[in-house]
Amino acid sequence: MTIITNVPIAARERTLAHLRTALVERMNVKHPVEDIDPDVALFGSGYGLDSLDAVELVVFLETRFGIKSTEGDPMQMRAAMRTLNTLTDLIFQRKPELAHVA
Amino acid sequence: MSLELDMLALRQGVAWSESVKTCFRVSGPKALQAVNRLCPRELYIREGQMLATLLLDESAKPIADLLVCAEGDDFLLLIETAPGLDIAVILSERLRPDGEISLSDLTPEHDLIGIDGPYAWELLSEWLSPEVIGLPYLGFYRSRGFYCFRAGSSGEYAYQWMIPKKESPAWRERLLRIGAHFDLRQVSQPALDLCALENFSFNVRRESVPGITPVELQLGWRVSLHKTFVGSDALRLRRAEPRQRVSLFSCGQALSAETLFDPEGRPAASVIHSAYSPDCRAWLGLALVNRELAYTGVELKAEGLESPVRLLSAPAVNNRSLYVDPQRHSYASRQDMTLPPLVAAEIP
Repeated sequence: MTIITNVPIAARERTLAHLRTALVERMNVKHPVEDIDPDVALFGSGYGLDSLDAVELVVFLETRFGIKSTEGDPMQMRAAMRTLNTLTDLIFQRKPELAHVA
Repeated sequence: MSLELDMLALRQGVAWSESVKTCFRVSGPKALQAVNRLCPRELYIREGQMLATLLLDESAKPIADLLVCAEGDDFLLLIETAPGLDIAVILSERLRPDGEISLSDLTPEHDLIGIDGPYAWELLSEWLSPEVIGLPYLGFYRSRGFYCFRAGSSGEYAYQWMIPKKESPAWRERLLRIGAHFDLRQVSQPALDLCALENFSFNVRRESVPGITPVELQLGWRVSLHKTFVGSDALRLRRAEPRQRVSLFSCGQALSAETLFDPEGRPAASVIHSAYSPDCRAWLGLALVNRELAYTGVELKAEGLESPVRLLSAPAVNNRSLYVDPQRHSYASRQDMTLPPLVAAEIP
């Protein structure tokens, strides 16, 4: 089925896949990669990441996507770290070219 | 009751409500085995901790939102149940109380109050004790005859407070007296439900729908892949072939349609429920969306509606509680804080 939409679904799914893999391999989230949902809270409830995982996530964002936590509004970064979807929104906002890679 | 004023208290101050949760105690020499059998999640909790999980029916539909609380050799079960179900009967069937397992319903003899808001911690620290400030999320403690549980669905600092009914009046009077300094407001269940919707928090009273399991609801983290429990067989089958995902959406108009269509006019989603959000100035809702389209930004159509239905990244609001620090901030000086806009998502 061909889906026609102005949303870069393939690019979004690819970014989510990178983030899911990072959660499992770097932050020890104990769920299969394919079961990790995009709107589940990363900290507190949900996947239960802690402050050490937050550091790991920040490092991953910089090394994998070139997103520096020291750039931009720190409150925006805090809001972005809530779910995989909000992280993807931040990545696409800071690196719009990633939303258009085929 | 004014929904706007309720939401103001919930999102920017402190609110209280009569809780719809019930509370049971499981005790006896085999309490651990019984609760482990009941609980769809691995029961790895310590004294004073809570575990968020679900009760499912045989089709894997969630029928109760369950918090398992470890207290010594006993367990407290804080439960919110889908409409029309008798949770006491369900628990009795699943726990099978006998000489070694005792199940008692604490609800008839206890008052249960919810306190929510970015400054709820401050009010509770004055009303109950300063140790509330250090209480971690999904932690609880007992003191002077009351229980204080830190849990909730509003996306703000949230607590449930429980005390024997006969001791409640004096505590309530004190709560309202101290609460006057926080503009404390009693809020309605629709306001709390709206908070849950804005925050994409599971609401068993609205989302216990045939055909929808934790897989679709993005609640896989609340159930185990390995344990056997009521509904685990159906869940395993659904996990093997997930086809749909529940997503948060916004729309500029009230939605009465149940079916949503993709840009090519094909059925793509079904609406579960929706409500108007004064803070977002839009209609928000949950839809069960075909997975190939369940992505932020996708726009679907409803028959007879001019506005598109746009899928969002949850949550829809920038909860103030994310930025309020009990070590530095207070309700009295809240106007001095610089905060981002309350509405997080780009709401069309």
